[in-house]
Amino acid sequence: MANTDWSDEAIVSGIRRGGAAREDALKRLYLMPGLRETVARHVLSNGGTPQDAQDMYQEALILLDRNIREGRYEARSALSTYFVAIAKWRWVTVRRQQGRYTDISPSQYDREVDSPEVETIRTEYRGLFQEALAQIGERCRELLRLYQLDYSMEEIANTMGYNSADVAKKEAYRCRQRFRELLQNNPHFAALLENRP
Amino acid sequence: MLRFEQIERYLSDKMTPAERSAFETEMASDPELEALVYQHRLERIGLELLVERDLRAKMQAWDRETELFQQIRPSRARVRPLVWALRAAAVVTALAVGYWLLHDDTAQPATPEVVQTPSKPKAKTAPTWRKPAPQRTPPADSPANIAQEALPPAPIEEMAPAGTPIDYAAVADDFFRESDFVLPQGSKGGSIAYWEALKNLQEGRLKEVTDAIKPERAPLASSETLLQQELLAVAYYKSQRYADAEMAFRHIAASGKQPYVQRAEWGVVLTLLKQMPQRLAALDSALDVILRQPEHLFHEKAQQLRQRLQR
Repeated sequence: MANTDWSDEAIVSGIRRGGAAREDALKRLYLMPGLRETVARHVLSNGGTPQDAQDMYQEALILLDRNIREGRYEARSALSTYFVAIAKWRWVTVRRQQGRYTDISPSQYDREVDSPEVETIRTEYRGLFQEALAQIGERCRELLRLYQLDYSMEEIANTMGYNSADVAKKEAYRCRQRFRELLQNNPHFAALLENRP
Repeated sequence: MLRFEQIERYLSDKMTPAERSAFETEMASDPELEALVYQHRLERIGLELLVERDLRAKMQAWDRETELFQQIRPSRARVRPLVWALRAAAVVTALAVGYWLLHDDTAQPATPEVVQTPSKPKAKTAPTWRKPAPQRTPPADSPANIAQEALPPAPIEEMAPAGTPIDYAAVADDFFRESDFVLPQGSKGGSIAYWEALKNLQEGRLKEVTDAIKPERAPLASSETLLQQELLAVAYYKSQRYADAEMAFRHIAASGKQPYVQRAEWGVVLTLLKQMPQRLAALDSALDVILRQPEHLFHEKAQQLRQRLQR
C-alpha cells in the first residue's frame, strides 16, 4: 500500500527498504513541490542553462539515493536542504570540470559525497565499467541491478523467474564473475588493481 | 562462493560487529583477501551504474507522467463539445438503422453479401442491423502480401538471403541526415567553440573537428559536452571511422540525458550499418532498442529501415 505520510523519515526509510518502497519514496522526493525550482534558481544564477538545471536536479536524486543506501545520510538537516546541497556541490564540480571559475569550493559540500578516491574511480573508469556492463547481457544487468539494490535472493528469483533462490544466487555469482573477467581483461583496470592504495 | 558472499556482506555492512572485527583482523594478515575486497569494492562502484541508469529512466517517466497530467487537465473543457457531437451522431445513426430495419424486406435482395454460405441455405435470413465487413482478398498477382503484413518483423538474423545482397553502406547513406545530430542554425544553445566546430564539419574540415574535440571517457554531464561529443561522433562517421563513431554515440547514449540518448541510439544503428555484415547481431539489437519505444524520436525511421532490410 502506498505511503501517504511522506515525512523525511518515511522517505529515507522507504529508500533504505528498497524495491517498490524505494521507488515510491524517490518519486515523492523528485516531484516535491518547490524543490526543482530551488535547484534551478541556483544553477541559473550561477551560469547554467535550464537544461543544466534539469541535469543537476536528476544527478542530485541519484547521489542522494546512493548516499542514503550506503549510510552516508545522517539526518543533520532536512532532506530537501540536503538534496539542494548535493545539487549545488554537483554544479560546482561540473563548472570546475568545464574550466569555469567558481568561488565556491566543492570541499564546502564534502559531507554530501563519496571520498575523493571513490569519486575519482567513479568518474575516470565510468566508460570502462559501461563497456563491461554492455557485454554481460540484459538479463545479467537486471539481476546485478537487483542484487546491488539489496534485493533478497528470493525476491530476485521471483522477479527474474528463476526456480529458486539458490538458482538466483548461482546466476548472480556467474554474472558477477563475467563482469569481473571483462574488467580484468582491460589493462587500465588491471593497473588500478595492481596499484591499490 | 562462500568467500564471495562474505566479502559482499562486509561491503554492504551486513556483518555483526563481532563478525566485522574478525573479518578485518583476517584481512589485515592476508594481503590476498585484502586485494579481493578491494576488487569487490571497485566492482560495486561499477555496478552502481546499473542503478543509476534505471533511476534516470524512471525520472524521465515521472516527468512524462507530470507533463501528461498537466496536458490532460486543461483539455477537459475541450472534450465536452466532442462528447455532445458523438452523442448526436449516435442518435442519427440509431434513427438511420431503425429506418433501414423497417425497410429490410425490400433491401434484402439488393444485399447478397449477408447470405451466409451456399452450403447452409436458409429459407429466410434474419434481418441484419449491420453490413458485414467486406472480405479482404489478396490480389491475384501477389498472394503472399497480406499474409506477410500480419507477421511481426523477423529479426535480421532470420532473414532469408535475397537474390541480390544488401548494400548496407548505401542504405546507411539513405538514412543518415547530419541535421538529425547537430543544432540547427540560429539555435540558442551551443558555445562559440561548438559553432566553430559545426562550421568546420559542414565545410568538410573533418580533421579539424576530430583534433579540436577529444573523446570523453568521463560521464557526460553538461549539455555543452554532449553537443560537442555528438559533433565528434558525426565527424568520425563522415571520416569513415565507424568504430570510433559507434563508441562516441554509445557513450552519449549511456549519459541517460534526452534527447541526446535517442539521437545517439539512432547514430549507433547507422554506424553499425556501415560495419555490416560483421555487426549483424549488434545491429539487430540496436534496432530493437528503438523499436521497443513507440515514442522514440527515430521510431518511424527504424521501422522503415527494418522493412528495407527485410526486402
